[in-house]
Amino acid sequence: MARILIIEDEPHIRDNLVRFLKLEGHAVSFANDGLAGLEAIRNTPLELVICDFMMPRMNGFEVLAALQADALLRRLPFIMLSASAEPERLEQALALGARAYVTKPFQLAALRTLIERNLHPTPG
Amino acid sequence: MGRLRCTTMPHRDPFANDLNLSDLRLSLHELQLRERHLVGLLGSAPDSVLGMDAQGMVTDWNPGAERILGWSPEEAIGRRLSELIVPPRYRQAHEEGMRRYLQTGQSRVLNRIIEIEALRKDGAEIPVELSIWAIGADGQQGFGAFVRDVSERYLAQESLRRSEERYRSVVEHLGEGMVVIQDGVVVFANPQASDTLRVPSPQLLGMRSVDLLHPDDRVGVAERLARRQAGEALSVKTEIRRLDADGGVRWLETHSTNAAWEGRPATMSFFSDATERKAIVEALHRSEQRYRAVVEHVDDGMVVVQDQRFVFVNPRAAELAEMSVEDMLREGYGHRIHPDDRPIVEERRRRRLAGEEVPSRYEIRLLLPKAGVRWIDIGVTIVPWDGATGTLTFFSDITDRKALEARLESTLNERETILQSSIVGIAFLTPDGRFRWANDAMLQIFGADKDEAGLVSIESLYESRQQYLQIGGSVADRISRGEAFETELRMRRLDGTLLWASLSGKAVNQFDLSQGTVWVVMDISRRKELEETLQKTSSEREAILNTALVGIVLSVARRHEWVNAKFAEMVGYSREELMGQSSARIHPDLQLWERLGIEQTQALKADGSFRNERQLKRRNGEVFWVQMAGRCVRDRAPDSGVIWTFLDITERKQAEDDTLAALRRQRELNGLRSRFVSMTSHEFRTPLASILSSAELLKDYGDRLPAEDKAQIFQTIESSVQRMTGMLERVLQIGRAEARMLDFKPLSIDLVVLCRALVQEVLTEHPAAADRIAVEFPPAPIVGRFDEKLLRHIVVNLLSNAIKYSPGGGAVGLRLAALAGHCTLEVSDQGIGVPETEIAHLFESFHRASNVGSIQGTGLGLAIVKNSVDLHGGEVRVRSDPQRGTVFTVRLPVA
Repeated sequence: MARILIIEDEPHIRDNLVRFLKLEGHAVSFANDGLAGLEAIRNTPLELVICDFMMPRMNGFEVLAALQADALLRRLPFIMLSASAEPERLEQALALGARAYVTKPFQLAALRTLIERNLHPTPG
Repeated sequence: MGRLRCTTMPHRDPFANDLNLSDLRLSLHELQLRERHLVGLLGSAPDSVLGMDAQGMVTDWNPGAERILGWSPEEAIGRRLSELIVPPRYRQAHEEGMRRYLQTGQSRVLNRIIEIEALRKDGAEIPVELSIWAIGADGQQGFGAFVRDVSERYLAQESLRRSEERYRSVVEHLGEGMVVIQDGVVVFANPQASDTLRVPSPQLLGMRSVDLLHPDDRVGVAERLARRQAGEALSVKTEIRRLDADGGVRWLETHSTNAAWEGRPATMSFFSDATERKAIVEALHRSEQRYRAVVEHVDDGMVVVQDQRFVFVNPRAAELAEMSVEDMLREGYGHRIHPDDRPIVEERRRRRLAGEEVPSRYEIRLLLPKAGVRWIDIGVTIVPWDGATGTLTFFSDITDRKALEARLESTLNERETILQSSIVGIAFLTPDGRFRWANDAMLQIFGADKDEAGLVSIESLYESRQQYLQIGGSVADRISRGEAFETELRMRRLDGTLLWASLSGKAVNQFDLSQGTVWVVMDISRRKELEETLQKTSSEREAILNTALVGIVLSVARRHEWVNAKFAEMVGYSREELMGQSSARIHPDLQLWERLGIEQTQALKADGSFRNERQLKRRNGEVFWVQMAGRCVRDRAPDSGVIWTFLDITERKQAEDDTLAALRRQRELNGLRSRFVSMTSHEFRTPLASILSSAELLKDYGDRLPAEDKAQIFQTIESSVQRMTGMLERVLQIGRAEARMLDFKPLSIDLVVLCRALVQEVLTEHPAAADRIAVEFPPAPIVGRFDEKLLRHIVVNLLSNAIKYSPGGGAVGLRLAALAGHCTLEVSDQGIGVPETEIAHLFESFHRASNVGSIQGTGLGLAIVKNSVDLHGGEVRVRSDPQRGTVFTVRLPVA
């Protein structure tokens, strides 16, 4: 069981993710845009963040950059979701410290593996 | 004397007899005190106080007297006063006066202050104020005198008086006018001022100084005055004009200075009338100039001789003799006269002096110092000179004339030779065509030099009799009109062979044809031959150039000297129309043509050639592309003419343009494709993600999901599919529109009714926007032929956009209005607006403005709006302000 935050403005995807993670036994919270998400990260103890790229007010990259600038939050596992399949975006996200960059549409099974790997990293 | 004294001495001492003794003692004491006091007073008085007895001997002498008059009391007391202080010239009068007083009691000097000179011990005389009074009755006890030195006062008065006199005499009798001006007003004027200014004295005082000046000088004078008062040192002399009451203008020479007048600053101006002086000076100047100009610049030399002496020589005379003026004055020019001419000069002079009539003009030679002679025409006249008679000799240089005469003479001599030895045949004919005279060349031309008979009649020299008659007729015609006859024709030599001859003839005397004609004949066979060859060659060459496939032009100074047929055909003119004309007529733009001129001249001078692609204009106004290349006739000398070739490159240009257009289209398509790819990745991946995650949830967790969640997941799948279908439709719509396949099926529709329904449809999509939409519809229906489906695209897209792109809220308006022949549909919002630079691309497919942020969209809506409006034959416009919102106005025609 882990505390996971979902930041996603598209209601259908967000709702499905919440359902999925709850069914997987996690404590799930969500935010509808980047700014609200960043606030939630700062105010809630979390083990992982799943964040969309294109959102109003503050996009996923800006959220990620804000976390990197914060020593306490820099190590918080961050998985980026994106409708953009451009390789530059992937590189940019990883360079900024995202653990994974997942392009839509994605398979929940694959997402589950990513979450597991980041919650319980295998040593070495 | 006693008799007189009784009657003339009425005053007596009132105290003399009426005092008692005690009084007297008292008085004595008082008197003693008073006397001491008095003596003390007198001793310290600055003036001299002295006493004398009736005999005129000094009895008292105070220190003031010693100071003023120089004598000490010891020296003075006991001496006769007159000897001490009265200058010798007054002594007699003084003694007489005293005596008269003592005898008669009458005096002109007693008890009065008189001014007189007193003698000092050192012999100097000083002016004094003197008053004398008698002590005791009748002066028997003596006299007192009071002497005050008034030297200083006297001196001051004297100098004042003298200064005043001097001043008055200067000012009153000054040759110049003088005025004093204070506060801009004349406060003093001397009599001469009144005369010079021609204003009566009383009137002059109080006049404003500007009124004394010529209006044109007022500004200048005021300016000078201000500058002078400001302390600038200005030349005090100026000339100004005075405008008299009668309108006459006179020049006044003035000089002004600052002066004090009654203790306050004033300007003192002196002036005199300079008009006459100025006029005389000018006249003199002019006369002098005229005289000098005439004498010094006259092209003739001038020499005046008086009593065999040279008294005047002008520079030109000296120049002609090549001497200095000084030498000529000293030596004359006799030694310069050519020895051959001297006798005649001597003789003339002798005879002239003897009073004989002698020709006044003749020509002589002057020997020049270096070499050669100068012919001089001499003209002599008698003139008065400095009151006596002299001879004025004019010299003119006639060397040129002489040279001309000499040349003419030799020319005449030469002419005969020329006629004879000329290579041109020359002949004189009688009126009936017989040879009177012919030169050698003439004989040679016709082969008559070897013939004994020579040339007899011209008739035999013609090719045929017919030719002779024909030419003879026109010759007679021209010659009778005084004109020359010229022709080129075939003639026949005496031996029968033919030649080409140039023939020109003229009457010897137009008015007397009996004198016959003169003829010039040249053998031009060789030239004719060459010409024929040339003609042949040229026409061959011209034929080649004319059949060339490129336009060829010889232009000189940008004028077509020659053009070939191809060039004429290119520009649509005939060759004749082009030749001789400026090339400007075949250029579409005069300015460009002028610039081309500069450009090509530079290139031709620098590189020797010029190549250029350019548009030319045909006669029918059509513009076409040519490639033109020019080269100078003489290398790098455009003035020598330029040979141009022109190649019509319209087709090539067209091909280039087509290629460019294709490239542009290609680029547009590439842009469209990349925008499409980017749209699909964003807009298709999102619903796909919803669908995929929904499917997985149902598949893997279906048994654990509550029924409500399941229903929602199915709903998610459905709406995502709908969203994708909607997008696909829009893409297809655009595809059809771009392929011009969009259906346009107009029906009679009321726009107002339709719009009401469409607003409701939009509100179903965006229920939250219900209270933001404000509609404004006209009361009457707007019925026209519209395609309902297309109108739906227009209205729904515009309204949805208005709501979507105003995330902060704000009013959304829909306004319909009917106008003559058309209607307008206006959709406004208070949203994020469109950056000004992007408005041009707003209606392009897949184009989304840079400020949309994360607002979702395909970039197709407005493209579809545009297509739909275009199909209706209407237009759509947009006004936007990123601060205030956007207004779309659609204008549709109403049939």
